Amino acid sequence: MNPAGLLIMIVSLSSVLLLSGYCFYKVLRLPPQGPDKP
Amino acid sequence: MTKEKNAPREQWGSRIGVILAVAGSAVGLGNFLRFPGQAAQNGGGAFMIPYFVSLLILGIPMCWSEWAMGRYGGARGFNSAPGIFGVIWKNPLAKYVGSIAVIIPLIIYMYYVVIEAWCLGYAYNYLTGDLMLGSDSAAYGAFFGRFVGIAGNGFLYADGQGQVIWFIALVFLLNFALIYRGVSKGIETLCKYAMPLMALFALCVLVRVLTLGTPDPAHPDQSVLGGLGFMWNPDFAKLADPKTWLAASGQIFFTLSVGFGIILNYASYVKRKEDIALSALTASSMNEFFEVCLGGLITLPAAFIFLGIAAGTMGTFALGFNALPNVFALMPGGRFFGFVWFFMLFLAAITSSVSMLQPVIAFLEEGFDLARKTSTTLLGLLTALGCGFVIYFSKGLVALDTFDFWVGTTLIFVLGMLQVSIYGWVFGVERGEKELHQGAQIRVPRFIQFILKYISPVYLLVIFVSFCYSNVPGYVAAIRQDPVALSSVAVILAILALFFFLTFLAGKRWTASGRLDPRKLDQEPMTQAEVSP
Repeated sequence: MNPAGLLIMIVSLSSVLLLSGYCFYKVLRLPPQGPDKP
Repeated sequence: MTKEKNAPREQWGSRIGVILAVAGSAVGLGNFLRFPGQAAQNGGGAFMIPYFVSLLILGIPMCWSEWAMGRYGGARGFNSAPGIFGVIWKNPLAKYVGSIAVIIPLIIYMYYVVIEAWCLGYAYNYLTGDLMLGSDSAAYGAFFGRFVGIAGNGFLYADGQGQVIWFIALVFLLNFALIYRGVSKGIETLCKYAMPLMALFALCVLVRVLTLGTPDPAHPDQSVLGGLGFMWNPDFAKLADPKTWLAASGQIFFTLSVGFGIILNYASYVKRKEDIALSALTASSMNEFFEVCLGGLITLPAAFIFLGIAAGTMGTFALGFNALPNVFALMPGGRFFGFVWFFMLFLAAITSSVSMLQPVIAFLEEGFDLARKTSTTLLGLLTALGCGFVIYFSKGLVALDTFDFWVGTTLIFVLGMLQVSIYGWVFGVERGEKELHQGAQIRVPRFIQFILKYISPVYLLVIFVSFCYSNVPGYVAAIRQDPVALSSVAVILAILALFFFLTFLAGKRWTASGRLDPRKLDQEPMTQAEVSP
């Protein structure tokens, strides 16, 4: 594996992990939502 | 036969439930088998540049548009695409555009459930040890050919040949049992268990692959680092080739399940004040986790370590069902990891296949006021016929391939273009932005609406024209030469005609009952009492 490949792999994996982590953090912090009222 | 009066509208039980369901629908075999192959053939690490560009300007914006239109239609009493488009676009054609979003998942289900059964069957054959065939790679091709009946039409119905039929029957029943239980009790419950289990199983295989070292000292380059390099080392010259950009856009389009009609249907069950902007982004990012972090580190590196550079030139089925079983046979603990891998693929497939049934069920129920039992039975009969066709015409997998090309690829492009155009030019980006931000904790940047209105339709059109230019002539020639390909296209056309007719009937019922009355629809969302027929 060459340095450019390693760099792209690390950047790609960390971007996806950071985005997923941020989204889940935000989702879990949201207050629970009751059913729609009639 | 008919639905109970004033039955409560179905809704997702929890926020995390809908996210897992949408992600479960998107994560499928393509994440683990198609993505690595596409990356390796289109510049390795360099492929990730057009891939992420496409994700940002095509994939995520299109997901947001589908979530917004879906919930908008759901709040006005419609869960099926014909109804949702009828609400959005006050044009007689709207319902028929929507019916394409019912036909696509229906036909894809007919062959996808067969592939799902292959995965379960392979997992079973690892348990029994029948797939530990040694180092002879030809043995795996022969096993696959026998298992899927590639030798001749009707092969699987011959006495003693159709082990896979039992798996198809089992998987078929499982899908319908889940769909019968409904959106929350069936689909949501499945995804709540299946998605974490999939991640766990994939991580288990990933750890095995990353600790393989250099299994064959005679080939020191075929190591873990060599395998990762094979997948990730960039060939920047490929960025100058338009095909690389088209491949990346196509991969993003298919991996996020946009243009399938499924997100539209799932989003219609989301609550009014739910944050769909964040939910859409979370589901997309979860799909990317499975694709880039797991698919990108497992499949090709493992295949390269044992099979060398030949691994990079294989198609999806050859990589998944010929090369990887060969790899597991050569790997220490391969029988266990082979089972884990194929069971994980089965879970990825079932969370997708079950999502293909829901848009059709929703259409039958709200179009004809059918009870769940009746709609499930009718859909079961229809899909069993289509599935039986695919199983019978197994020679060279022609029927499966024809369905996949004309519906699973071409029609999806068509629907994707129609959907994004309707969002940008009929539904309107202002209305879309308002719907997206209803109850949202995050702000979607304004330029996304500009992208959806002007860039995404043109971008999709360019991909579609290029795709047609390279692929359609070959498939048209196949229709002329191969009676099975011709019959498969005839089946597709028959289903299209049937559903256009059903949409016509459903539209008449909706108009007669006033559900598509423009004065009513322009008002704020309907209450529970108005929604129930």
